[in-house]
Amino acid sequence: MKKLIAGAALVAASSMAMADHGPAGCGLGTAVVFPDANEWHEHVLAATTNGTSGNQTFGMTSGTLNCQDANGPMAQTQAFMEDNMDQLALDAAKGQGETLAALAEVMGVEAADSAAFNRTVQSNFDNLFHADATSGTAYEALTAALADSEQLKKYVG
Amino acid sequence: MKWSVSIRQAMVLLLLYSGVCVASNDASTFEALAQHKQWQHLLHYRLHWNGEVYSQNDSDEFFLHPTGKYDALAELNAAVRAFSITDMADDESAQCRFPARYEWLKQQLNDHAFIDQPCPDFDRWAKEIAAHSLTLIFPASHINSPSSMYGHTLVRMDREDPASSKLLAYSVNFAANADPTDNELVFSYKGLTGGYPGVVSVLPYYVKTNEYQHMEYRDVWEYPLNLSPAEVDQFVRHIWETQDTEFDYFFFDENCSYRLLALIDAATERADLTDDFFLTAVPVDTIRALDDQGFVAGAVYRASAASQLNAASDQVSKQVREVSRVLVESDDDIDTLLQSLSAKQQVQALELSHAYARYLAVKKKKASPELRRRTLALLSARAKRPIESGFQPAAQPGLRDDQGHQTRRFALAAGQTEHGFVDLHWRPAYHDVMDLLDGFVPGSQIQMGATELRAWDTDDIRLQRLTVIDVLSLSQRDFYQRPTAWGVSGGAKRFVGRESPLHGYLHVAFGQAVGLAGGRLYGLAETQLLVDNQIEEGYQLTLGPRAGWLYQSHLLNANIEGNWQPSVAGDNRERHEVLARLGLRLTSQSQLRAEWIRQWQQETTNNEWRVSWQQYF
Repeated sequence: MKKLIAGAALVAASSMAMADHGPAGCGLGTAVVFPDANEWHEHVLAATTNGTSGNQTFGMTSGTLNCQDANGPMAQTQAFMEDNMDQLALDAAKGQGETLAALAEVMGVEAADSAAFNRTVQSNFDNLFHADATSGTAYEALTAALADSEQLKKYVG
Repeated sequence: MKWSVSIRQAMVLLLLYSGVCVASNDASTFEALAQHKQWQHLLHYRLHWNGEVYSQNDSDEFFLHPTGKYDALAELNAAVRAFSITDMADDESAQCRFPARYEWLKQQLNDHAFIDQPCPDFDRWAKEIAAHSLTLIFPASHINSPSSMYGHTLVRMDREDPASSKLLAYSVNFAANADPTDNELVFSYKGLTGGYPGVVSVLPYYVKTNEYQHMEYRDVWEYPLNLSPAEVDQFVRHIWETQDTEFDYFFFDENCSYRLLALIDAATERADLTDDFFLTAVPVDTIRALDDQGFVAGAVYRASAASQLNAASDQVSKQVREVSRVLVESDDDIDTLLQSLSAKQQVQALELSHAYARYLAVKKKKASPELRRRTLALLSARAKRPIESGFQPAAQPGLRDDQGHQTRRFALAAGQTEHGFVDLHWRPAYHDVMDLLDGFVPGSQIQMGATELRAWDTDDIRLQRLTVIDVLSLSQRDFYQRPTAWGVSGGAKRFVGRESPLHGYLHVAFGQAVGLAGGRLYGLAETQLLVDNQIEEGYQLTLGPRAGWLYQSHLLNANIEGNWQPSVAGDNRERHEVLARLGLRLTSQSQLRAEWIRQWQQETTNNEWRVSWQQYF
């Protein structure tokens, strides 16, 4: 379990503690942005075989990898962030991009609000993505930022 | 939901003793149906090398009859009986386990009164996937990994709303379920011998784009397939049937590409795609197979992070490029480094710097806490400048991988050393740097199984060369990327000269390549191991420089190379070699080639030249 630095919001700590009892691998909230890449298999697995290992999945659930009981847009949002931290960080910095658009779709953001959504994520970049951020803390920061906006608070129920 | 073994056993018992009877006049109908192409496709029956027809699925769970793997008729009879049972709990009936077979049999036996059983689990799953159309996904070869020329394929199941995110669509992937603790040698061996089971998985497309676009730096081609919604529904039903079952997995025939074609075959009577593949299925050929049968409706290009970096870097001034690199490589204050640039240039430099930082972390393995912190700081600075960079996306390449020359090559050559000779050459796969360039990555080469027979004017015929593997990657440096050029080849060949015996060899080389005079100049440190009893002590290990210049274009290929190999161990004879090669495109599938080679071994010098005609098929 990743140690949370002092100063991380208490809510984040509690959400992660809850995630501990959640289904394995589902929105655990522990993914960090830009983890070390391990590429031992790059040349071999890039060949025909393209071996998978361990993450056999049948997409049996609500849009999340290895996620047995994820229900509702919030769990899906967290799971999506867990799997896409690196791309989200870039799109958040640019204020647009395919991964950010996908996040908006997972959260049910309507087309009319997508510009405001992008702006909000961009202006809150430092809260969402920093060296100690995990997908759990980023999720909390995102919902907090949306809750602060008259236009967007409807998306965080 | 796993169909448990106990339920399966119960089902078999039910079948054996059930009151469901099959009218005798059905018998001939059933025999015809069992031989029907579509039933064979649904069960993955295939003619094997030993002349027998049986299913390629290895799991009991895939069949209703104990001998279903080998007996299409017994399996069909069992299926009709099982699909007629009406008093099972929800999700427990055979109809729920094999919805695609059920659907097909219902259509074929329209006078047979099947009663649909409730399958809420399957319905939920299919509704979540919400497939409306299929897209074949082909990650193109990537720059510094010739083995990726073999590529991979998967199928994305797209939703009806064209505005919905492609990243969130589910994709069907077939892959060897490799053991991550196996090293590369074990992995390759097991992959070649079918030592890994192949499994179908369903995962969000973003899992794959993260892997290909951002980690492996591979462009992706997406080919929308023109299947009807009914055919797509049947595809989804059939994917469900493969759950928790295993297929054989071999690198060269029953691989990802072959199996995906088999899954599409099972989904529609219009398709008979696997017929053409008896020995090898190279992913790019699967696209051609789909295209030949009229299933490909277009092609969409998805640029990798590397292509985007190159495209963006071409759109800015040298000053912006320099700043972007310094932003990553120094620890100085970011705002100070950006001072000299306009607002828009600052945004461009920051985006380029992020791409460069990721390249260092992912490809150069320079991942460190400092680089990670710097990358985040650069993105933070980018976020504080809410304007657009104005970068145009990477342009689609003029030709796709599937538009290159065909996979197999045959060549006829005539040449001369101290005697004249004629060569017959056959290569099952795939591409060398002298082959036609269109659709291939420049500077990349991967050949397997190339075999050459030589007939001398003195009437004797010999095996001249057998290439087991021959990989060369001459990726050149650019402003941001500094890939390592490398090569590995192994097999058996002869030195120049009619009396040269065969010897076994293994060559390994590492170095660098740079763009020069329209081509690329490369320098490698190469070590060679030669093994044969013609060589003193039975072996020789050499180490020396190998350098050359390679030019590749649509019409013309040219290569000059020198290789100096002083001995390190074993036989102490010095060996040097220079060669010059020229290739001229005749048609999209043929080429004329001329080669000259000069070899020095201690005191002796030998020359060979030859002219050849290469035909791809």
